[in-house]
Amino acid sequence: MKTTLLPPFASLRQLANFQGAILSGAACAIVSTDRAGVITSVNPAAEKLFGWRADELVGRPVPLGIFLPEELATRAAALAAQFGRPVAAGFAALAAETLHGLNSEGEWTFVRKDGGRFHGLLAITALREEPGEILGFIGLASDISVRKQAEVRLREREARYRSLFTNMVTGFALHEVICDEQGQPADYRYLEVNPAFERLTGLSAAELVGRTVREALPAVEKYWIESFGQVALTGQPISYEHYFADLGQYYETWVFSPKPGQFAVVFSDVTARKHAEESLHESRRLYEELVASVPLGVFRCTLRDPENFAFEYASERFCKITGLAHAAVLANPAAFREIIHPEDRAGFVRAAAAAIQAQTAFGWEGRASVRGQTRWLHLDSRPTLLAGRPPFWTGVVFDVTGRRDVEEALHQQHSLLEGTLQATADGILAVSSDGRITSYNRQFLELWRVPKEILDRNDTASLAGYILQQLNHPEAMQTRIRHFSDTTKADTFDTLEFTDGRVYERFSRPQLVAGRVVGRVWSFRDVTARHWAVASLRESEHKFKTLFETGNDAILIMTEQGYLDCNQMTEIIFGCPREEIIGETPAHFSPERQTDGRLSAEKAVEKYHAALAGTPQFFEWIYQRGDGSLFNAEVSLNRLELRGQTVIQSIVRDITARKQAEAAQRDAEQLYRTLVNTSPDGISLLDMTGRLLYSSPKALELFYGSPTAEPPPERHAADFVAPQDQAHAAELIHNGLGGKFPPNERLLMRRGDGHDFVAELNGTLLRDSLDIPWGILVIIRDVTERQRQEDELKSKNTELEQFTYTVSHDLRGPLITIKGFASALLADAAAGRTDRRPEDLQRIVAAADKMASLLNDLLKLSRVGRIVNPPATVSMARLAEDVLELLAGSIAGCHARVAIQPGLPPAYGDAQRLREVLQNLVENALKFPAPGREPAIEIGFQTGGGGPGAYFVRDHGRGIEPRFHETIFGLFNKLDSRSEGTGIGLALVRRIVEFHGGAIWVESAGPGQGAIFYFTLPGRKALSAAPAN
Amino acid sequence: MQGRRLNILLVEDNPDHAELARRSLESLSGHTCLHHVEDGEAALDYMFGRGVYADRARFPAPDLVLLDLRLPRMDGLEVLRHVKSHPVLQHTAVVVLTTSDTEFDLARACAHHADHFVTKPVDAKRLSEIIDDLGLRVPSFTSGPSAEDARS
Repeated sequence: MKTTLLPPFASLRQLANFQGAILSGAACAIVSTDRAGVITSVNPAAEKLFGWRADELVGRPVPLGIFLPEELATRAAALAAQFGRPVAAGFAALAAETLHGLNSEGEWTFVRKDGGRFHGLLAITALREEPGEILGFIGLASDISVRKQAEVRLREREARYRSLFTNMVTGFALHEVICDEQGQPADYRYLEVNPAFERLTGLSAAELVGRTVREALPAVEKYWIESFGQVALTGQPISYEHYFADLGQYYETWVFSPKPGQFAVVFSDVTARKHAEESLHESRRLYEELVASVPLGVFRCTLRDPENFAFEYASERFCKITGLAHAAVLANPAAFREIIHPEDRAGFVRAAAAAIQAQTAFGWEGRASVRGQTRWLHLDSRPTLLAGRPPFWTGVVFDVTGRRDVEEALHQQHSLLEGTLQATADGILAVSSDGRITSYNRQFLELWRVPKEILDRNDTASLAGYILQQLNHPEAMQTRIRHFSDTTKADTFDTLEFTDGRVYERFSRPQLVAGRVVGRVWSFRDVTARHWAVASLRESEHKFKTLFETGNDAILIMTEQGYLDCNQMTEIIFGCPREEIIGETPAHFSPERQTDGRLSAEKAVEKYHAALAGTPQFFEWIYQRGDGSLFNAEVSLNRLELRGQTVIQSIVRDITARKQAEAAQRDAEQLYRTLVNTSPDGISLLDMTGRLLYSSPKALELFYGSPTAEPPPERHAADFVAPQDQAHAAELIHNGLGGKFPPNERLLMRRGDGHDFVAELNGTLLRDSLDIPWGILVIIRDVTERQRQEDELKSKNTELEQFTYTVSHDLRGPLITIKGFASALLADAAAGRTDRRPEDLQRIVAAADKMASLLNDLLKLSRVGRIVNPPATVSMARLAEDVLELLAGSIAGCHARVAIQPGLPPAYGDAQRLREVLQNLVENALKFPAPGREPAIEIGFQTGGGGPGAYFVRDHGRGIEPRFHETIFGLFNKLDSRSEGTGIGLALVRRIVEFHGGAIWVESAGPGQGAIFYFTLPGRKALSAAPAN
Repeated sequence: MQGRRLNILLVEDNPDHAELARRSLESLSGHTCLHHVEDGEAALDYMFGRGVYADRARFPAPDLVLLDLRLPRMDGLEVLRHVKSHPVLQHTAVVVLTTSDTEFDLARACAHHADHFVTKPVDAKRLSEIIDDLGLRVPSFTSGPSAEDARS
């Protein structure tokens, strides 16, 4: 140490005072000895530090019991080596450096009076008399055990998070080991990699999956293949940290075997952590260097106000630490304050002000600008209060930048780890050995859906309970891992299956601090997707094997040279043993040419090369079996990598049966099509809402009037139902959807052009293979004509019924008369009464006659249409004359005049029947003359307005009320019950006229006004078209 | 009116059948008075007391109508429908005369609310039972039989 710059003291006493003040005011322990190491003085701080009173120390030789003999021995040995001569393991070991003019500063383990130990820093300075004689030594000691402990704590904390980090699994890859002939792992193939793996390695799944590591990473060392291979073969997991030179990255890797022959690698990129560790290591080294030369700058200053530090003394080291020139320190009260970092200046001033105010110790730590660098300085000082002068503070300053940097680095590292912990995809839970939850991340909560209150309870028992209830086999988990804070040193890895199908991987590793288990870190990962992917991979492998061995297809492996391998089915399909197939080319098993006329050999090679280029081929091919017979096949060619060789896999399916079935189906379809297209019934297909999906040509004709109509889209069957039958149609559809179509239902339908037709419908509900109805097939038959005929038949039946009734009633009339009067005659005879006999007999005879004429007329009526004379052109004039001749007696009897209009046009028909028409009409006219007038009758023809004209018979008789104009033509309908005749006449006339296709009607203004009966006879055409009955 | 008599209206177009009905009524013990019309329109005119039948002294309202179904001008069923839908006349007992006892006739008669039916020729005994059935009493007579013909 160079000459100390002391302020000029007036006397030795002043100097002693000064020294005394430094001694008593310093924050660190100061012990002075004589040359031999006998203690001459100690300051209060030393008393406090070592636990000895001053009087117990002064006069005694160092090292007392303060130093550990082993440390002294070690130091002595080191110094002996340094100086090349022996050094005693006593005081000499402390003083040696100082005696050689070197700085002596070092860390020691000090022993207190009470036996307690602490780490201390000791700096020794020689007290020299001018010009160099050593008077004694001064030792400055300070307790650094607090700092030591802080370092230990930080290291522990770092270790803990490092442990957490170690457990994070991020990348994942599944491999299968490829063994050589000796069964030793020779390579491995990537089976599956996850996106995290891709991201971590920078290698894509496409580059890796299916390829071997030797292909993907040629620089891979054999060591890794063997190590991984052992994991896959023995099931013993390994973990390691490794630097991949190829990738320039560090990986922390966990390798285990999910099944024999496979291994999975779960790994995380820890490059960033490694770099952090390296820089931390660097910081620590720096810090240790700084600590090794810990500087204590000593100062004394007068504090009048916080802004004004009047330094009275500053050691050389003070100047070095603060970077201030010695003169500047003493001259400029603001010099020290000015180097303080502006942000920390206020704190410094505040602390100083408080110390001045209370006249107490003054401590501060903060940044300062030292020689252009920001350093952390620590300042400790105590006030010395001397009567008669302002108080001054004596203290030390030392540079703590190294420590601060370490703390900062550790802090940064901590937050980096904390951030990583939160950012990882894994759920992390750390539990201490005594069962407390020490840390967890957000993903853990999400994975387990743990309510925060359970975590807050900090009770692993209830957490375990909450978790177990989600698992499929909670009891298995419980027995395997008794509790979360398992204190064994083993790593664990297992898979948890959840009741809801989730699958988690769980990895745990003890948390070690200084080789002691302080807890356990659990890492959880949701591998549900991978689990199922692996499961399905296994399944598909199994499927493939099954397919190859037991499938119905021939499977062949080939190269350009020919077939390499084939399955059993190939022998059956190709009709020759395997030995004859291997080595042959496809052309060998093909006819010379394929159906398209191309040469099989040429085409086969072409297909082969297309597949080899990576385009899977699928085509039909004709093969020739061993016995020369041909068969149709469907072939698929795919490129495969097989044992490092590129081959083509050919799957050959014999489709002969299918071809035949297709042909049969084509025939059936053709038949069906013909049926549908030629069916006289319309066939429509409706969906379940009634929309028309398909209509056969006949249906189109029914709906649109043409079998080739283009039906507009979105038409519903109901669109073709006439309004009056809509309700009925809705009911039909409703029943039909229930599966019960009533057969042969009729609906009045309306075509698109408004034309109505009657349809007979039969529906069938169509069901798919799952028996779910999907549509309705409706057969539509146009029964309009049949309906018309049925209606006509119905009306004819009614007519016939009425006729029968009428006939039976009227025929009974005379019978009743006969029976009644015959009974009366019998009764009269019994009573001997004879007066009424002639009259009654007369009635009986008349009734019998009436019966006969009724039957006669009915016979006539029944002959109309039944017994037909050949139709011919008939002269109506001639017929009229015949009639007059026939009725001449009657005409004469009632003095009637009958005129025939000249030039009556001829008619075409049955002459005899037409005569009956005229005869009946003339008889009628004669029968009902107007009272008191002789009948006048005219037979004529009247040309109608636009019509063909009508024949007529006109009379001037009693006339007919309009309300009877229709009923008089009914059978037995008589207006006057007393008139002659059976009541059949006009019915007969109408029947004949209608049979000839004509019409008959009567015109009469009413009673007493006469009547004209008109009838038309349309002629040849109408007659041939008239109904046969 | 000639004291207490059962007035009967016979609607029948066949003169022989009318004569047989008349003789049956004559054989009934008691006073009946028979009025005869020959077609459906005349039957309604009589019952409503209109036209030529307006004189109720000569043509008293009938207690019983014997109605044939086949009639000129207006069918017997039509007459029945008119009578049975009239608020007053509907209480008049109507016995339908049929030529057969086929269900067809009976069904039609019942559908028009006929009170009874008789198959022709009308038997006196059967007629007597029906009159009793309908709750009509033929007043017993003290002097000889009298059936006044009220033919129009």
